[in-house]
Amino acid sequence: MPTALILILTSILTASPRIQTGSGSVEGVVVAVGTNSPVAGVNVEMRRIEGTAAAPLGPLVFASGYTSPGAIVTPNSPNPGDVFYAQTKDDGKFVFTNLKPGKYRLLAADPLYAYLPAEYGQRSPRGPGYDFALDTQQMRVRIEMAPLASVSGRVIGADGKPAPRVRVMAAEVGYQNGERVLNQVQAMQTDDQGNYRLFMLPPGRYYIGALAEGLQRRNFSVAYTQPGQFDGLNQTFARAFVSYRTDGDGQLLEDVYETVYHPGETTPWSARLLDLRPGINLAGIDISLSSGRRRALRIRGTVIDGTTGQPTRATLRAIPRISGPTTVTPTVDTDPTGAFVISGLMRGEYSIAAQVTSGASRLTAIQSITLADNDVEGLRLVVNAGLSIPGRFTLDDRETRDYRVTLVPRETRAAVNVTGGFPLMAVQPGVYRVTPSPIAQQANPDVYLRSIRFGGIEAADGTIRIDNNTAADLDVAFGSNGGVVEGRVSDSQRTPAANAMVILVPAGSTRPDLFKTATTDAAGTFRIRGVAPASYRVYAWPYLPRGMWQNTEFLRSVESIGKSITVNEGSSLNTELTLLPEMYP
Amino acid sequence: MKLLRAALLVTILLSTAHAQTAAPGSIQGVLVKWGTTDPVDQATIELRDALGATSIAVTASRTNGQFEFNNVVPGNYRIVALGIGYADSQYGQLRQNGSGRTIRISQGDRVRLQIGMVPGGVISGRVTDPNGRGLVYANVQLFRLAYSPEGLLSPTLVQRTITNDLGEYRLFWLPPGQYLVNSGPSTLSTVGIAIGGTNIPGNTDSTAPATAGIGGGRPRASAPPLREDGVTRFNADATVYYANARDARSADVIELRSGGEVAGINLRVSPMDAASPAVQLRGVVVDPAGAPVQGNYSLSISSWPAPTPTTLASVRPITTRVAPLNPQSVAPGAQMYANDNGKFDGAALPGTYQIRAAQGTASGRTVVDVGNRDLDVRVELRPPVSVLGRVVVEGADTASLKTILDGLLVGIRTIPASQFFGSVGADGQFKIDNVIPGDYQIFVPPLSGRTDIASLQSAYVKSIRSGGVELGGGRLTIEGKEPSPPLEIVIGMGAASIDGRVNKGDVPTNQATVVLLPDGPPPYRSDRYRTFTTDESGRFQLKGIPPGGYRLFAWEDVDAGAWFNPQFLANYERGARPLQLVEGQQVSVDLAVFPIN
Repeated sequence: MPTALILILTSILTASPRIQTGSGSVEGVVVAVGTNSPVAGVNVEMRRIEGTAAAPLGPLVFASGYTSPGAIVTPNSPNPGDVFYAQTKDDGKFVFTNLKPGKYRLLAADPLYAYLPAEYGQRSPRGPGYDFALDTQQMRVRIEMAPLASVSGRVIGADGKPAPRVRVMAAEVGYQNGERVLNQVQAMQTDDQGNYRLFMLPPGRYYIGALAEGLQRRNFSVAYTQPGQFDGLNQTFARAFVSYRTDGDGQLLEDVYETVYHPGETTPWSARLLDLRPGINLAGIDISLSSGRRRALRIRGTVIDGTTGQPTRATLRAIPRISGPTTVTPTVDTDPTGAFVISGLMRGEYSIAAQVTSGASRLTAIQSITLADNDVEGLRLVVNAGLSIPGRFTLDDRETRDYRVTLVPRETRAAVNVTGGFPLMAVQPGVYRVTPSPIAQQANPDVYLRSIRFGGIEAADGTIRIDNNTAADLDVAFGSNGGVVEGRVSDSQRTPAANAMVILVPAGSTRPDLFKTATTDAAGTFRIRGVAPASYRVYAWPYLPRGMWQNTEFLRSVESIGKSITVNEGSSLNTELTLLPEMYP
Repeated sequence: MKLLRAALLVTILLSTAHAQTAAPGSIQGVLVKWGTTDPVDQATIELRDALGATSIAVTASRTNGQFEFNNVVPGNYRIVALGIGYADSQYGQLRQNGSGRTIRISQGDRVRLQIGMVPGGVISGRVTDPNGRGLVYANVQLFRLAYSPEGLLSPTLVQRTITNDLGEYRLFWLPPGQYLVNSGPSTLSTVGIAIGGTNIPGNTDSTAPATAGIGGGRPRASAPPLREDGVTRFNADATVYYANARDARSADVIELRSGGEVAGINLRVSPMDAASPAVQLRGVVVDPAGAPVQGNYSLSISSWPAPTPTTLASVRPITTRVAPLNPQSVAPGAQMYANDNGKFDGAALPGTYQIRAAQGTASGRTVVDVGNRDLDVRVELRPPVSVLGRVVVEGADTASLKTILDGLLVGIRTIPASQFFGSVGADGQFKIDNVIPGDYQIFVPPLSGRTDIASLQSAYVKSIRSGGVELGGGRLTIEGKEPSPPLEIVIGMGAASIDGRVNKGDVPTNQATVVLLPDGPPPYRSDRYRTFTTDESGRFQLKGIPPGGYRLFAWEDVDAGAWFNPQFLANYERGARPLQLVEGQQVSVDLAVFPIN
């Protein structure tokens, strides 16, 4: 009797095709965005993701290689017969025949990576595709692929000469919790002549930043976001990059550099924003490092164990207040006497976080410090067990244990979150966003977050401030009778708009959980459950970059074109929406 | 306000209390361009520990090329200089592409020294597909020529970079010398490629970027192996050496002069099916009872005889979909599959491969020769076996015997990495457990050149027998079908030793490389060759040498492993010192060094 195994379907494909009987067919053409010229040599893949009763999905094939017994084995291919491959010819055309009925997804990817991978049903080159149903029909499809862009130039050092081995980053503007952030899409190094080239960039808006890492850097990891991914790969380094030189009097100087954005700004939002259209090759994007050079500073001090009053060994991390696509958080250990030196810092605000882990207990401290022009001596950090924050979760006013809460620090991007059930332990004073989440994987979709109260006071936007003297309870209340917002989206021609984004924006609050999104199906319909009773504006867009709908500036600009609705507890609201024109950020 | 800064202090070494009685020394140095007196300014100079791994202090050079390190705790150090336009340069380099030397700082020393900065050269080119289109993110690797104890070319990787979207790459700041360049398939499936990095370690990433996996994004469409006309073709790319060679031995050597530039080192990477189509493999894995294995098992294929991962073949278990026994335990939407009676399939290009399977503690392997016909393969799983044996020590009295056997281990190891050990008991018996089928080399760890254990300094492995038959080269194949006959390892107590001095004329040679090789060509067994680096006295000591015929060499400056290259060695045979060592012999030699030209 074969032993049964638990497996999870993934999406990497390498199987060889075998033709099975069916009668559907898909005929298509792949063209380039903008020029509409056919693209040859593109790999096209059609994969059946849902079978029918008469033609169920076949078995999967495993990846080769070592696996230990009992590990979850992920198959790397659906059965040949449920996946089909083709390659476009010079006319950009491809054909799949003998297809069984079911739901499919179609993907086109250029093996030479000159184009962004594209899926059938995309409303934007950066947006998702969607599953489509295939019966016994002949389907014609058109896939548009966006050619990728490149940016090149030269980095000039503070001495006016070309600067080699400098990290240059393509940072795309994104949104996180409503704030504008930079996501690193690619990082490369300048060569011996100071020249760089950033490439395979999806269309979007970028700042180009340069960070000098000093000659001691021997290895460089190329960071890149695969075309088709949406999140950048921001990197954090635990060791400072210090450069050394001598001045006119022969004195040794230590420098640390801030990231400088083309043409020479240390604040990205004041730098030149590059709007990369598909396929563009921008040259001459030079960056001068002189405004980024700072004197390297040190902080010396001691860590004291707050429970004993004695110095203790600890690990310290200096987290800059402003972080970027690459952030340096110098991390050091104290010596056995609890003394530490953190070098390679620069003028500006830092949070110094200390941590002692002994066995199961964890003592922490976090302190803000502003560095000016001189080293800081004698900093004392007292680690303690932190505060304990009591509280409770309720569902329909009855206490429940089915949730956990995460306190996300608002002031430092790289600090440690506190997660768990009540009471929350080892919490340091600070400002936090309260983010509750269900423990079970499959939460009840009708449940909504009713309120977050700290010390009996409603936390506006879900943010609370914790001081050393805080003696307040955190009450997180849920209701199980959330409202439903459903309806249909049509375009200006009254045709149902499939794969459109519907967004619910709360009218009176910016608490993140109140924002809801849904994607319309093939019939243009959508259904959003678990909506908290409140007033909202509803929008339907072809595509919007993730998180942009929480950005205050953006919301203000679209306030007048939203449709106002009010949702009551347990109510069901049906609404017809018209697709708005695409808003390229 | 001017900032007065002295050179950085050495802080890390001040923690040991008793070191404070030793007065610190100082180093005054000057950087010049190699072979000239032209100063090099604004270069970064690192004071490192003797191993070259830890940076202790850092400074920069002034307009006149001068720099200093003050308050240096007595000890041995290396000094590395990094400058724009220069290869990494070390104190004590005798050749532009040689390795540096350590410097000893004693109490109160005020050392003056000079470091020649090696001008950096450039090697550049393009990597393309067969149609001339540039390949993006292709790995480009730069190698120095080196040889293995088997006498085979085994190039050493010195730098890696990747190509841009035009297929271009540029390797810069390289010391002069002879190089090989290769390129392989696009590396988009891996993240965290390291560029640069010579043999000198330094500031590296401590946080690797998160894996750029497919999760959260879309699947990547790829072209899988296509089966047409009954034949499977791979769509993978093969690694190619400049200029159009499949392996290092037939590759072109690139000569880079000091500060020179070699452009146009272009590589054309082609899919593997251009060579020959692949054949299909059909297989079954059976359990020790001979029945097809049930349940989950692991499967892999590697090259043969040196089992390294290969892109020329692949295997995968065949599965069928089953209903879950316990629906609650399965996440909604997930499907359940089971291996189908141990059946697997795969494809391979012609060549020899090893297919390994394992389930629990049982494992098995089979070696297949793939020609141009489809193959049926059978892999038999066997429980792990134990290798028994006995160590016999000749010519040792009872007391020494006890000391020798105490803590002695016998090991067996395969390439690349599996090692198994057994402890030797007071009666000389040993047992190595949990050995899986494979090809092994037997070795006795403390007797492979370690001279610090006094009781073992005259011990050596005299013979290794299995079932009365001497095992050539100490190699043993274990299939696990029937127990292998017990091993008998004879340790002789008559190892020879050599001590001596290396001179150039009358002057002892500091940090000369002394190499002892057995007579005859490679391959050399690990316990039969020795290397040693002299200190300022020029003295060296080699112990634990098995009796036999040898040659002794000493070089003022030589690339590590160059002596395993028979062509290189041929130039020095006449100047080598021949030695015939008998049991227990202690030889003293005065050796003239081979100077650098």
